[in-house]
Amino acid sequence: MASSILLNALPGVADTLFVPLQVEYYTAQLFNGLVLGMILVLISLGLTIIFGLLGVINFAHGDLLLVGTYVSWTVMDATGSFLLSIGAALVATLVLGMILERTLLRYTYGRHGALLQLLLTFGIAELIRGLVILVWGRTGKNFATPSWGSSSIDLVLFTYPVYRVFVIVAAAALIVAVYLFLNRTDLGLLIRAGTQDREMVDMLGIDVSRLYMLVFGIGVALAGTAGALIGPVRGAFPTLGIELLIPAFVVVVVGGLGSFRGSVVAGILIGELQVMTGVFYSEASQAIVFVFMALVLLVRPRGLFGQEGVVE
Amino acid sequence: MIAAIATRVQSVYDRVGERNLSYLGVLALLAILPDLMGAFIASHIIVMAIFVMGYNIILGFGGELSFGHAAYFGLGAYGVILTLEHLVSSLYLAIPITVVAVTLLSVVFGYLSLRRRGIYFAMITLALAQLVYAIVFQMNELTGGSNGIAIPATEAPLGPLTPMSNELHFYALACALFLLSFVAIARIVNSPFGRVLKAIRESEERALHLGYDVNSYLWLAFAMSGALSALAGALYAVLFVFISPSLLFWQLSGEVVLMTIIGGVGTLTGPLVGAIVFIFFSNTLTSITEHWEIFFGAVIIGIVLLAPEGLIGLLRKAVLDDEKVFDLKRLIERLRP
Amino acid sequence: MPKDANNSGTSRRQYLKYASAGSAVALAGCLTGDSGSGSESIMIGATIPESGPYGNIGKNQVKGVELAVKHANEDGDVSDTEVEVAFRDTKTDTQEATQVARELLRQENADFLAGNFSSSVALAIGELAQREDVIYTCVGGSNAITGSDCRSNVFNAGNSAVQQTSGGLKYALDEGLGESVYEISADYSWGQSIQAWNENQIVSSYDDVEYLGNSFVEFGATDYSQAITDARSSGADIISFNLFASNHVQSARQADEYDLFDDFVCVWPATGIIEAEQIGSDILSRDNFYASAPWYWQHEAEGAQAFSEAFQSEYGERPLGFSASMYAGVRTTLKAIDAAGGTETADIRDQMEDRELFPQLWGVGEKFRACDHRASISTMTVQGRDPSDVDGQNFFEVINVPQNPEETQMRTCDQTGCSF
Repeated sequence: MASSILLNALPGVADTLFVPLQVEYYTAQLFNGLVLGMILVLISLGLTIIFGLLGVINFAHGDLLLVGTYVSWTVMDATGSFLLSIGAALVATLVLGMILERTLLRYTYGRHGALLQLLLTFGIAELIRGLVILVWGRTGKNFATPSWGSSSIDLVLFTYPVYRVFVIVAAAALIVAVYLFLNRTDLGLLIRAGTQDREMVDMLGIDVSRLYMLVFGIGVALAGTAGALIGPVRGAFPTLGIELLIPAFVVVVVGGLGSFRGSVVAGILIGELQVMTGVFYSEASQAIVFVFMALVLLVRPRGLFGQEGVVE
Repeated sequence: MIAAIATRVQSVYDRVGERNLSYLGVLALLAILPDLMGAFIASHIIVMAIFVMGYNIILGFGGELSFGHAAYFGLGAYGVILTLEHLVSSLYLAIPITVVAVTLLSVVFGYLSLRRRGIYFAMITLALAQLVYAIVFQMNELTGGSNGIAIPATEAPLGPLTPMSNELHFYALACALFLLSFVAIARIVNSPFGRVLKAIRESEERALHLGYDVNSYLWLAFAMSGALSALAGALYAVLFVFISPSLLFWQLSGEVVLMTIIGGVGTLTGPLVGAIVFIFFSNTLTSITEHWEIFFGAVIIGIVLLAPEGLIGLLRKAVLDDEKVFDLKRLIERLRP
Repeated sequence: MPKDANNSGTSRRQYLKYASAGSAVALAGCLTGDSGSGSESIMIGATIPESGPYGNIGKNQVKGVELAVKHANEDGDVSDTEVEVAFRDTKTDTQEATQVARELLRQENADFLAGNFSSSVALAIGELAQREDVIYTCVGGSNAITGSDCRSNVFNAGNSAVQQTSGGLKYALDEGLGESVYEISADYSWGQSIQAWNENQIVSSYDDVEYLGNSFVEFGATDYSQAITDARSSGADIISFNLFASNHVQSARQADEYDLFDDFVCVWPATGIIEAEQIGSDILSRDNFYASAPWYWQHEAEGAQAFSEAFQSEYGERPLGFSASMYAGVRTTLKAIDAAGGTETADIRDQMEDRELFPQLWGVGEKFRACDHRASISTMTVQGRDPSDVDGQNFFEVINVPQNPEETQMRTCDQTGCSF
């Protein structure tokens, strides 16, 4: 039986302080917020990269994430290897993203604008979700935690589930990799240049349309990978994508559309805000992120790290 | 053959004039709808048409894409139920009270959202609507939360009509309100206010240079649009009796954009056409296939790629070769980041 | 109070009255036989979620209703009258559910409504059934359905939150498995119902048991890390996870991830074989896993065995507890219609009150209590079997089956706040 001393340390339960347990409790909750935050970072990084270069807000992002979750579930089910399943989700969504860009989105750049692109991605979202339901069913799948991650590990201050530690580490590695790609490789620099000034890249004689295809694929693959990572945490069910897309939108608005730093900072911030608000006043944990967004917009309409003129 | 018909149509069209012809068409549609689809679905269509009409003020005439109008529609529905439960016993008091309250909220949300334009505006309206959704979902003591809520059972007679219990009577009431809104919008569009809105839609910059307080105009348009959405939502609650928070979810915000586009952005008769096509299509779809999302998505994609000017625009282009089709391209250029 | 709705419904109701008056059958058949198609039958409008988070359970319940109709026709539950059923998917959304229920009444001319196991949906359809004056036989755990929001046309063939938690938390406390309790509850009518009953009635009835708190989780949420961290830090001996279906599965897996089974007795108030299959016997068989089950196919009662076998041979799978409830609920309603001699709602209601459920799947003389229309079925306590002992779908070891549920597991009629 667990000791019943530390009940007093819980907010709302009693007011006696019991410091070491307080630390353990709050650190664990901060980690819970970090898991959500890192996932949101991955999703909104994809959104923001796509927006930066293509100028498209991808409403299908959530449902493409869903493809990642289900592909990963299927591979995991068939092979038992979770790492393989993450790779499969990444590749599958990368390819799917590139196909979508090539076959649908590209026809909207010239004569159409944001309104129709928005609607188009809304339509793609419905279509993809419909296909996911067709293949995997409407009731959702039980996404088992990989066996190596299904217990907790002692992290000195507190114990925490191994798999969730893995999510944090894997997401962080991916974020660093994307950062290095954008800043240290020729292709990445080209993408960043395109974000600043599309026409200039065009003038350099570079095939912008292939660049678009690649960037949309990468953005979507980030979502797909996030989908695979969150599978064991949330399970696989058809509305998972929509559930995560809305807070991801908040992240990009708060962080500033098109800003890498903004997505990372705001993603972690929103994740923590949601979980830690839940700790103190659970009724507000959903609403708080939108209130926060409204406040940010009042004070700084372009978002924390948004650049003037990028979005207007 | 087709050419002959087209000429014929053209000559009728020339004589009667486009506006009168479309008004006649609206009246004829309203008259036959209940026979075609039954009173319940016909009523559903009219309710949605009022919603689309309201939405069209901000998108079609103001040129700003809101992705959060489910909030005003849903709050209209919740509002009328809560007002009936806690404040007044008459439905015909509850509806105006609700519309006023929701309009006030749309004034606040409009102020926040209109600090930005384009894609940012769309995302802010979306997030504010999700805030409303989260709050309604959470306040389950008042709203029933995920359980949803039912409108109190009252008779609510209106002269000889009992819209609460008789679907055809409800249809008559909804049609009256639809026509009222229709005439009101027609007048507004042709008023000085409407002309300034149009100017803003064509070029906000130019309107600014001409000395118009662009933000105030758009703000007013946003509030009017919120008011009509709330009215539609209130009617929806009367018609459906039971409502749940899904009414506030972003899916509905997307659907109203779609209905607006199907009917033709910035047209007077478009909303009715959009609502008819959409409701009929989605009812048919859900009854014949479990996988309606696939077809729904495919149709959206099809419309966007093939007929972005909507059905009315398509019709005009095909049959009447009308040069004055609302120029969506210009609107789109404005929205481009 | 009963108002005659549409014409065809009325004529069929009147017809049925004549029809079951024995000798008038032939005559009535001649007179009204052609007036409406299918007028010689009873139509059941079945509202069951076949998609959405509870779709798996719903599909099994659909089979329970189908089998009830099949057996009713074979055994002649309603004399000389054929029973038919039309299904609609509620998607576990209250608005969708009431809409399809209305469709069933208007388009299919359903004589009564049956089906569903979601509390929220049961409350909504119950309200509709009252307004439309038809009987609604359902399953739904929320105490409100047969309490503060009870409706006279609603009969509940499933167990209530009180019954469920009696097989769960109350059992654990009675057995002395711990002296302090923390709860994690889904924030909707069913979860709220269980949480409130546990805090205000169960825990407070033990002098030496302490209530340490509750974390509500949003309806539909699937990551409980925050609530689990709360529960873990509370230091309670027993954690009651008031979470249902896929949320039950999800929370059991996460409890394992956070190593809760090492230090805490973990209790779930409504489990079944679908959940068991998904959780997996590795977790299920932990010493500290306890759950309450509305019914389980290995129940020893005679009626249970017969039903379980018939279901297995018809569909090649085992029935769930909610399907058993619905099977008995539908057949009992049909028997009541037979006894009432027609589909007049008030007459059926009179016949259903205090009527013993047919067949007796719990074998404890369970009936529809007259004061709140809740079935007095017995809720059992189960633990998971060791993985090596699991063969087929025998996931559970039944460790307790109360024989007198009305006294040990249910609210008294006064406590319900409902009185017909």
